[in-house]
Amino acid sequence: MKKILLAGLVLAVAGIGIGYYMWNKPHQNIAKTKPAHTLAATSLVDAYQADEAAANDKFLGQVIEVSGEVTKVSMNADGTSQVMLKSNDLLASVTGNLQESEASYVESLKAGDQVTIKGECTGMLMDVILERCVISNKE
Amino acid sequence: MKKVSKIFLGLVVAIALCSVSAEAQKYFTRDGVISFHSDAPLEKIEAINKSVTSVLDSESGAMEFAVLIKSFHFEKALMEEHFNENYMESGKYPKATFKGKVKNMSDIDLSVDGEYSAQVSGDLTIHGVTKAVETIGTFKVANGAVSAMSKFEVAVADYEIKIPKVVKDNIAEIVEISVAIDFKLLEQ
Repeated sequence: MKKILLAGLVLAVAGIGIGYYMWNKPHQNIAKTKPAHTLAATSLVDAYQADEAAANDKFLGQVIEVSGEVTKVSMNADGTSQVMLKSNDLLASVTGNLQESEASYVESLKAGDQVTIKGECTGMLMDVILERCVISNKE
Repeated sequence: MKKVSKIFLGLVVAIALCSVSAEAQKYFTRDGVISFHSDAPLEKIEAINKSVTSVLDSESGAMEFAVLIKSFHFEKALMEEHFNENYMESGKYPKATFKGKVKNMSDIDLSVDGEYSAQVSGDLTIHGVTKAVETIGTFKVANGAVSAMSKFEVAVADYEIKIPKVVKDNIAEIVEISVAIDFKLLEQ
Protein backbone atom coordinates (compact mmCIF):
# COMPACT_ATOMS: atom_id res chain seq x y z
CA MET A 1 0.00 0.00 0.00
CA LYS A 2 2.78 2.35 0.98
CA LYS A 3 4.63 1.51 -2.25
CA ILE A 4 1.63 2.44 -4.36
CA LEU A 5 1.21 5.72 -2.50
CA LEU A 6 4.88 6.51 -2.96
CA ALA A 7 4.77 5.65 -6.66
CA GLY A 8 1.68 7.83 -7.00
CA LEU A 9 3.39 10.71 -5.27
CA VAL A 10 6.47 10.44 -7.47
CA LEU A 11 4.28 10.41 -10.59
CA ALA A 12 2.33 13.41 -9.35
CA VAL A 13 5.49 15.41 -8.66
CA ALA A 14 6.93 14.40 -12.04
CA GLY A 15 3.68 15.44 -13.69
CA ILE A 16 3.72 18.80 -11.98
CA GLY A 17 7.36 19.25 -12.89
CA ILE A 18 6.76 18.47 -16.56
CA GLY A 19 3.68 20.67 -16.59
CA TYR A 20 5.64 23.52 -15.04
CA TYR A 21 8.44 23.11 -17.55
CA MET A 22 6.03 23.02 -20.50
CA TRP A 23 4.16 26.02 -19.20
CA ASN A 24 7.36 28.00 -18.87
CA LYS A 25 9.31 26.45 -21.69
CA PRO A 26 11.47 28.93 -23.57
CA HIS A 27 10.99 29.92 -27.16
CA GLN A 28 12.99 27.87 -29.62
CA ASN A 29 16.69 28.70 -29.44
CA ILE A 30 17.19 29.85 -33.03
CA ALA A 31 20.95 30.31 -32.59
CA LYS A 32 21.32 26.63 -31.71
CA THR A 33 18.85 25.32 -34.33
CA LYS A 34 20.13 23.81 -37.54
CA PRO A 35 18.34 25.55 -40.42
CA ALA A 36 15.94 23.47 -42.50
CA HIS A 37 17.08 25.40 -45.59
CA THR A 38 19.99 27.68 -46.48
CA LEU A 39 19.55 29.96 -49.47
CA ALA A 40 20.04 33.39 -50.97
CA ALA A 41 17.49 36.13 -50.28
CA THR A 42 16.98 36.48 -54.04
CA SER A 43 16.10 32.77 -54.32
CA LEU A 44 13.71 32.94 -51.39
CA VAL A 45 11.72 35.82 -52.83
CA ASP A 46 11.79 34.21 -56.32
CA ALA A 47 10.35 31.03 -54.82
CA TYR A 48 7.51 32.90 -53.10
CA GLN A 49 6.69 34.95 -56.17
CA ALA A 50 6.67 31.88 -58.41
CA ASP A 51 4.34 29.84 -56.21
CA GLU A 52 3.37 31.11 -52.76
CA ALA A 53 1.59 27.93 -51.66
CA ALA A 54 4.54 25.73 -52.63
CA ALA A 55 6.97 28.11 -50.94
CA ASN A 56 4.89 28.05 -47.75
CA ASP A 57 4.87 24.25 -47.86
CA LYS A 58 8.62 24.37 -47.94
CA PHE A 59 9.50 27.32 -45.70
CA LEU A 60 6.54 28.33 -43.50
CA GLY A 61 7.25 27.73 -39.82
CA GLN A 62 10.77 26.51 -40.58
CA VAL A 63 14.03 27.96 -39.27
CA ILE A 64 15.89 29.00 -42.42
CA GLU A 65 19.20 30.69 -43.08
CA VAL A 66 19.17 33.47 -45.70
CA SER A 67 22.07 35.46 -47.17
CA GLY A 68 21.91 38.69 -49.07
CA GLU A 69 22.73 42.33 -49.51
CA VAL A 70 21.40 44.73 -46.90
CA THR A 71 19.14 47.48 -48.27
CA LYS A 72 17.92 48.88 -44.95
CA VAL A 73 18.71 48.60 -41.25
CA SER A 74 16.49 49.85 -38.44
CA MET A 75 16.78 49.72 -34.67
CA ASN A 76 13.64 49.59 -32.52
CA ALA A 77 13.16 51.23 -29.14
CA ASP A 78 12.86 47.86 -27.37
CA GLY A 79 16.27 46.58 -28.53
CA THR A 80 14.95 44.49 -31.42
CA SER A 81 16.05 45.45 -34.93
CA GLN A 82 15.26 44.81 -38.54
CA VAL A 83 17.28 44.27 -41.70
CA MET A 84 15.91 44.17 -45.21
CA LEU A 85 17.66 42.10 -47.85
CA LYS A 86 17.64 42.77 -51.57
CA SER A 87 15.75 40.56 -53.98
CA ASN A 88 15.34 40.49 -57.76
CA ASP A 89 12.18 42.57 -57.32
CA LEU A 90 12.47 46.25 -56.45
CA LEU A 91 9.27 46.12 -54.43
CA ALA A 92 9.93 42.95 -52.43
CA SER A 93 12.61 42.06 -49.89
CA VAL A 94 13.42 39.54 -47.22
CA THR A 95 12.68 41.26 -43.91
CA GLY A 96 14.50 39.85 -40.90
CA ASN A 97 13.19 40.85 -37.45
CA LEU A 98 16.15 40.31 -35.12
CA GLN A 99 16.35 39.40 -31.44
CA GLU A 100 17.61 41.88 -28.85
CA SER A 101 20.84 39.85 -28.53
CA GLU A 102 21.83 40.90 -32.07
CA ALA A 103 21.51 44.64 -31.53
CA SER A 104 25.25 45.36 -31.26
CA TYR A 105 25.97 43.45 -34.48
CA VAL A 106 23.12 45.12 -36.33
CA GLU A 107 24.29 48.58 -35.29
CA SER A 108 27.43 48.11 -37.38
CA LEU A 109 25.50 46.97 -40.48
CA LYS A 110 24.81 49.33 -43.35
CA ALA A 111 23.20 49.21 -46.78
CA GLY A 112 25.37 47.28 -49.23
CA ASP A 113 26.80 44.89 -46.63
CA GLN A 114 26.46 41.14 -47.11
CA VAL A 115 24.79 39.41 -44.18
CA THR A 116 23.46 35.97 -43.31
CA ILE A 117 20.48 35.75 -40.98
CA LYS A 118 18.72 32.75 -39.48
CA GLY A 119 15.14 32.86 -38.25
CA GLU A 120 11.65 31.41 -38.50
CA CYS A 121 9.90 32.05 -41.81
CA THR A 122 6.37 33.31 -41.21
CA GLY A 123 5.34 33.77 -44.84
CA MET A 124 5.07 36.59 -47.34
CA LEU A 125 3.01 39.76 -47.44
CA MET A 126 4.94 42.41 -49.43
CA ASP A 127 8.20 40.82 -48.26
CA VAL A 128 9.18 37.40 -47.01
CA ILE A 129 9.34 37.74 -43.24
CA LEU A 130 11.72 35.98 -40.86
CA GLU A 131 11.15 36.30 -37.10
CA ARG A 132 13.35 35.96 -33.98
CA CYS A 133 16.46 36.14 -36.20
CA VAL A 134 20.10 35.88 -35.27
CA ILE A 135 23.02 36.89 -37.44
CA SER A 136 24.91 33.84 -38.67
CA ASN A 137 28.09 35.34 -40.04
CA LYS A 138 29.32 37.18 -37.00
CA GLU A 139 33.03 37.86 -36.92
CA MET B 1 -6.86 87.13 -78.62
CA LYS B 2 -9.72 84.55 -78.58
CA LYS B 3 -7.23 81.70 -79.15
CA VAL B 4 -5.04 82.87 -76.28
CA SER B 5 -8.03 83.07 -73.92
CA LYS B 6 -9.08 79.55 -74.89
CA ILE B 7 -5.61 78.21 -74.18
CA PHE B 8 -5.47 80.14 -70.93
CA LEU B 9 -8.87 78.75 -69.87
CA GLY B 10 -7.72 75.28 -70.82
CA LEU B 11 -4.61 75.71 -68.67
CA VAL B 12 -6.60 76.98 -65.68
CA VAL B 13 -8.98 74.02 -65.88
CA ALA B 14 -6.06 71.61 -66.23
CA ILE B 15 -4.28 73.06 -63.19
CA ALA B 16 -7.53 73.05 -61.20
CA LEU B 17 -8.05 69.38 -62.04
CA CYS B 18 -4.46 68.59 -61.08
CA SER B 19 -4.77 70.22 -57.69
CA VAL B 20 -7.95 68.25 -56.98
CA SER B 21 -6.27 64.92 -57.72
CA ALA B 22 -3.13 65.96 -55.85
CA GLU B 23 -5.22 65.66 -52.67
CA ALA B 24 -5.51 61.93 -53.22
CA GLN B 25 -2.61 60.15 -51.62
CA LYS B 26 -1.78 56.53 -50.99
CA TYR B 27 -0.44 55.78 -47.53
CA PHE B 28 1.41 52.61 -46.68
CA THR B 29 3.27 50.72 -43.97
CA ARG B 30 5.04 47.38 -43.47
CA ASP B 31 5.49 47.80 -39.72
CA GLY B 32 1.96 48.28 -38.45
CA VAL B 33 1.20 46.87 -35.02
CA ILE B 34 -1.77 44.67 -34.20
CA SER B 35 -2.16 43.15 -30.78
CA PHE B 36 -4.91 41.14 -29.22
CA HIS B 37 -6.01 40.52 -25.74
CA SER B 38 -8.18 37.85 -24.21
CA ASP B 39 -9.32 37.97 -20.60
CA ALA B 40 -10.61 34.62 -19.47
CA PRO B 41 -11.41 33.45 -15.92
CA LEU B 42 -8.13 31.62 -15.53
CA GLU B 43 -5.77 33.54 -17.71
CA LYS B 44 -4.87 36.69 -19.51
CA ILE B 45 -3.59 36.15 -23.04
CA GLU B 46 -1.75 38.79 -25.02
CA ALA B 47 0.02 38.70 -28.35
CA ILE B 48 1.56 41.31 -30.61
CA ASN B 49 2.41 41.46 -34.30
CA LYS B 50 4.70 44.23 -35.54
CA SER B 51 4.87 43.26 -39.20
CA VAL B 52 1.43 44.35 -40.36
CA THR B 53 1.15 45.73 -43.90
CA SER B 54 -1.49 48.30 -44.62
CA VAL B 55 -2.51 50.54 -47.49
CA LEU B 56 -4.85 53.53 -47.38
CA ASP B 57 -6.18 55.54 -50.33
CA SER B 58 -7.14 58.95 -48.99
CA GLU B 59 -9.34 59.71 -51.95
CA SER B 60 -11.57 56.63 -52.07
CA GLY B 61 -11.09 55.70 -48.40
CA ALA B 62 -10.12 52.18 -49.45
CA MET B 63 -8.15 50.52 -46.69
CA GLU B 64 -6.46 47.13 -46.50
CA PHE B 65 -4.51 45.21 -43.87
CA ALA B 66 -2.64 41.94 -44.05
CA VAL B 67 -0.94 40.06 -41.21
CA LEU B 68 1.02 36.83 -41.00
CA ILE B 69 -0.35 34.71 -38.15
CA LYS B 70 3.04 33.25 -37.30
CA SER B 71 4.34 36.76 -36.70
CA PHE B 72 2.20 37.11 -33.55
CA HIS B 73 4.49 36.92 -30.55
CA PHE B 74 3.40 35.60 -27.19
CA GLU B 75 5.45 35.69 -24.01
CA LYS B 76 4.86 31.99 -23.45
CA ALA B 77 6.23 29.66 -26.15
CA LEU B 78 3.61 27.04 -25.35
CA MET B 79 0.79 29.53 -25.86
CA GLU B 80 2.26 30.61 -29.19
CA GLU B 81 2.48 26.97 -30.26
CA HIS B 82 -1.14 26.23 -29.31
CA PHE B 83 -2.32 29.43 -30.96
CA ASN B 84 -0.65 28.48 -34.25
CA GLU B 85 -1.18 24.73 -34.29
CA ASN B 86 -4.51 24.18 -32.53
CA TYR B 87 -6.56 27.37 -32.85
CA MET B 88 -5.49 29.36 -35.88
CA GLU B 89 -4.09 26.40 -37.88
CA SER B 90 -1.60 28.88 -39.31
CA GLY B 91 0.06 26.22 -41.46
CA LYS B 92 -3.21 26.06 -43.39
CA TYR B 93 -4.20 29.72 -43.07
CA PRO B 94 -0.97 31.72 -42.80
CA LYS B 95 -2.63 35.14 -43.18
CA ALA B 96 -5.44 37.25 -41.84
CA THR B 97 -6.67 40.14 -44.00
CA PHE B 98 -9.01 43.11 -43.92
CA LYS B 99 -10.32 44.70 -47.12
CA GLY B 100 -12.64 47.61 -46.66
CA LYS B 101 -13.07 51.32 -46.65
CA VAL B 102 -13.41 54.37 -44.50
CA LYS B 103 -17.06 55.26 -45.09
CA ASN B 104 -16.71 58.90 -44.06
CA MET B 105 -13.44 59.58 -45.91
CA SER B 106 -14.94 62.69 -47.54
CA ASP B 107 -15.19 64.23 -44.03
CA ILE B 108 -11.51 63.57 -43.32
CA ASP B 109 -8.70 65.75 -44.62
CA LEU B 110 -5.40 64.03 -43.92
CA SER B 111 -3.43 67.04 -45.12
CA VAL B 112 -4.60 69.00 -42.08
CA ASP B 113 -3.28 68.21 -38.59
CA GLY B 114 -5.91 66.97 -36.18
CA GLU B 115 -7.79 63.91 -34.98
CA TYR B 116 -10.53 62.42 -37.10
CA SER B 117 -13.07 59.75 -36.23
CA ALA B 118 -13.36 57.14 -38.95
CA GLN B 119 -16.19 54.72 -39.67
CA VAL B 120 -14.61 51.66 -41.19
CA SER B 121 -16.40 48.72 -42.76
CA GLY B 122 -15.19 45.78 -44.78
CA ASP B 123 -14.42 42.09 -44.93
CA LEU B 124 -12.28 40.54 -42.21
CA THR B 125 -10.81 37.14 -43.04
CA ILE B 126 -9.40 35.04 -40.21
CA HIS B 127 -8.76 31.30 -40.23
CA GLY B 128 -10.09 31.12 -43.80
CA VAL B 129 -13.48 32.58 -42.78
CA THR B 130 -14.64 35.97 -44.09
CA LYS B 131 -17.10 38.13 -42.19
CA ALA B 132 -18.38 41.66 -42.79
CA VAL B 133 -17.34 43.93 -39.93
CA GLU B 134 -17.89 47.54 -38.95
CA THR B 135 -15.88 49.51 -36.49
CA ILE B 136 -14.76 52.97 -35.44
CA GLY B 137 -11.18 54.12 -35.69
CA THR B 138 -9.23 57.33 -35.30
CA PHE B 139 -6.86 59.03 -37.70
CA LYS B 140 -4.34 61.34 -36.13
CA VAL B 141 -2.38 63.79 -38.25
CA ALA B 142 0.51 65.51 -36.46
CA ASN B 143 3.06 67.60 -38.38
CA GLY B 144 1.84 65.92 -41.55
CA ALA B 145 2.43 62.37 -40.24
CA VAL B 146 -0.64 60.16 -40.50
CA SER B 147 -1.40 57.41 -38.00
CA ALA B 148 -4.46 55.28 -37.40
CA MET B 149 -5.74 53.38 -34.40
CA SER B 150 -8.69 51.21 -33.61
CA LYS B 151 -9.91 48.79 -30.98
CA PHE B 152 -12.61 46.29 -31.72
CA GLU B 153 -13.91 42.94 -30.54
CA VAL B 154 -14.08 39.67 -32.38
CA ALA B 155 -16.00 36.57 -31.35
CA VAL B 156 -13.61 33.67 -31.80
CA ALA B 157 -16.37 31.26 -32.80
CA ASP B 158 -17.39 33.49 -35.76
CA TYR B 159 -14.20 32.45 -37.50
CA GLU B 160 -14.65 28.74 -36.75
CA ILE B 161 -11.81 28.84 -34.25
CA LYS B 162 -12.51 25.94 -31.98
CA ILE B 163 -11.62 26.20 -28.33
CA PRO B 164 -11.77 22.78 -26.67
CA LYS B 165 -13.93 22.59 -23.55
CA VAL B 166 -10.85 21.65 -21.51
CA VAL B 167 -9.27 25.05 -21.97
CA LYS B 168 -12.49 27.03 -22.28
CA ASP B 169 -11.83 28.85 -19.02
CA ASN B 170 -8.36 29.79 -20.19
CA ILE B 171 -9.40 31.45 -23.42
CA ALA B 172 -12.09 34.07 -23.74
CA GLU B 173 -14.78 33.75 -26.38
CA ILE B 174 -14.40 37.42 -27.21
CA VAL B 175 -10.99 38.78 -28.13
CA GLU B 176 -10.14 42.47 -28.16
CA ILE B 177 -8.00 43.51 -31.13
CA SER B 178 -5.97 46.74 -31.11
CA VAL B 179 -4.58 48.28 -34.26
CA ALA B 180 -1.89 50.98 -34.32
CA ILE B 181 -0.49 52.04 -37.69
CA ASP B 182 2.02 54.77 -38.56
CA PHE B 183 1.53 55.46 -42.25
CA LYS B 184 4.11 56.72 -44.71
CA LEU B 185 3.29 58.38 -48.00
CA LEU B 186 3.60 55.89 -50.81
CA GLU B 187 5.96 57.34 -53.38
CA GLN B 188 4.78 56.41 -56.86
